[in-house]
Amino acid sequence: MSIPGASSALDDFPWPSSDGGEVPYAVFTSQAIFEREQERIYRGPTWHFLALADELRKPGDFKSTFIGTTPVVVTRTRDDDIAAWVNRCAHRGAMVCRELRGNARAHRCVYHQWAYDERGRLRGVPFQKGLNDKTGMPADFNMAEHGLPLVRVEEHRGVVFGSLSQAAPSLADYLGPRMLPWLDRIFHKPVEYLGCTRQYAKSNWKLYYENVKDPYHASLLHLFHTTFNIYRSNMRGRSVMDDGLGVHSIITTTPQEDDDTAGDYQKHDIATYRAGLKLADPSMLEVRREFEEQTSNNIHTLFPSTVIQQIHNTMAVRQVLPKSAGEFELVFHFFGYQDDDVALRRLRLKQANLAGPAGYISMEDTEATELVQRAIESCAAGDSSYMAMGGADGDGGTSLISEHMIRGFWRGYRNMMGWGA
Amino acid sequence: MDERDLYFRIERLFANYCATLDEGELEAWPEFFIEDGLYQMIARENHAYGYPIPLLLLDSQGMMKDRVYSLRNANIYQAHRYRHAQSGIRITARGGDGLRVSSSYIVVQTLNEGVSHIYQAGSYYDWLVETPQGLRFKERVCVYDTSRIATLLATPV
Ligand code: FES
Ligand SMILES: [Fe+2]
Repeated sequence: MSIPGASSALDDFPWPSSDGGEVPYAVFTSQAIFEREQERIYRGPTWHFLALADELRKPGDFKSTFIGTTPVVVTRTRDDDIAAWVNRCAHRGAMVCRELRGNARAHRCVYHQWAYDERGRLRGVPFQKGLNDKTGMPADFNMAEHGLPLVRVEEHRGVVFGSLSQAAPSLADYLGPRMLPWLDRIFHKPVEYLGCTRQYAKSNWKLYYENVKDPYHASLLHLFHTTFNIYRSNMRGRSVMDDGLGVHSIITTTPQEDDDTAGDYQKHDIATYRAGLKLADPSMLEVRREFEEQTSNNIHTLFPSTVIQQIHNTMAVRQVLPKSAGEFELVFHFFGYQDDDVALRRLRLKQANLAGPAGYISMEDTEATELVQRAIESCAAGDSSYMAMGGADGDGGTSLISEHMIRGFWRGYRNMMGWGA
Repeated sequence: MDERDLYFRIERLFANYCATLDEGELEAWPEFFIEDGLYQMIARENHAYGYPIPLLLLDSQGMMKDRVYSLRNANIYQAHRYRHAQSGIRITARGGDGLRVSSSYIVVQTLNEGVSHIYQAGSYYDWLVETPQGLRFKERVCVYDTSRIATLLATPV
């Protein structure tokens, strides 16, 4: 909880340079900055992944989640649309919904039994008229004015986004014309929710955002592919930011020998390995073609809490939930398509070995963010990082050895935090 | 076979399995499984709601060996030690195709700086079969209650 005005002391927070290439380490360690982020970014004009619509199939189905540190419940209403509200009782602030998931037409706060419908409207207050005509709520008490705080909801192709801000533009405008087609590409047909894996990192959430916008680290930190000689000759890359704030981005890689039928390039690569080792059981990497351009990696980061991942045939929405300056939770929500055949579904489950808290090419990410956090906790005011790979400015477009998307993220972040460049 | 003998053999298998992981002898771990054996870890919350996504899904000894090789040579994670405590072993079915056994486990993890914490609590659901080498896992499914994994999971439990 931040006290209004308390963060104004940060109005003059010094920033070394304007291109986003030097980031003061204090932004990862200061709890005051964390509170300001919650206010200006997470409760500000931004959109956040809440659920896949498939998680809420029947009227009354609900799920508890968060936008930043704010607890939110998202639910399918009896009118078959999706609503969301802040999970904090309008009476005295208790958490109303105490389940991760379930089905309910009414949500009752256990403290004094105030009851809300699935749209968060207050429907019942015990002893509203008092007991034996004594006491009770004031005569002018109007239940319609005491519902749960509503969350704006937009459903886009089966993905449910929420915003705590009335000032946020529409989701389409928020993501912009460069980013939306990438979302539509993955969600081009109905998806099925397959479950989630969760991990807790003792590091700041923005270290993770730097990580997912950083193709530079991919082949250097994650050695799985090189160790097993699963290299792709002639890999084509893409690294593009949105043309608004520059805070969203897409990174893709595409193997070029894709005239082969599904899975063949994998066998081809295994067959042409150098003197190295190969997987004893490569079945996990038999790729099924399902996009016109069969990207091997599609890492689409939507500011500030959503990353859409497609790695071979495993797909997930990663949800970033900041908990404090030094901690965040990362949830991988996996999905497939509703028309998956049995073999493809099995392949998706197997390829979950690649990504998630135990993933062959993802477990290092939280290890790296924690290594940074541990070392910077002790640094002097004014110490900062240095990022210059890929030139000082501009959109690398096709380069994977570049930090330009991270610099873009920081420029946008500074703007939203009132430290405009 | 006498029920007591059977329990004794299962206990001995489990003790060896835990000791192998707790001593960090990862290369010996796939040997507890038959060649087309299954090792799976899945969060309790997925299991409870019928969602199939696993944390790990290794459906051959080859995949298990790949996991070990990758942990030794490719993946980067903090040095750690596991300490297993296993209890409540129950034979839930016994037939021509083997034994179904369930039990509880707790894994305490100790990191380099010398701090131990409960890393995972969960259930093992096992399918054991007789082989010339004795009892082996046809399946070991770990349903873990600790759905929020601390930092990452490298070593199988
Ligand atoms: S706090 Fe919810 S009814 Fe009182
Ligand atoms: Fe990474």
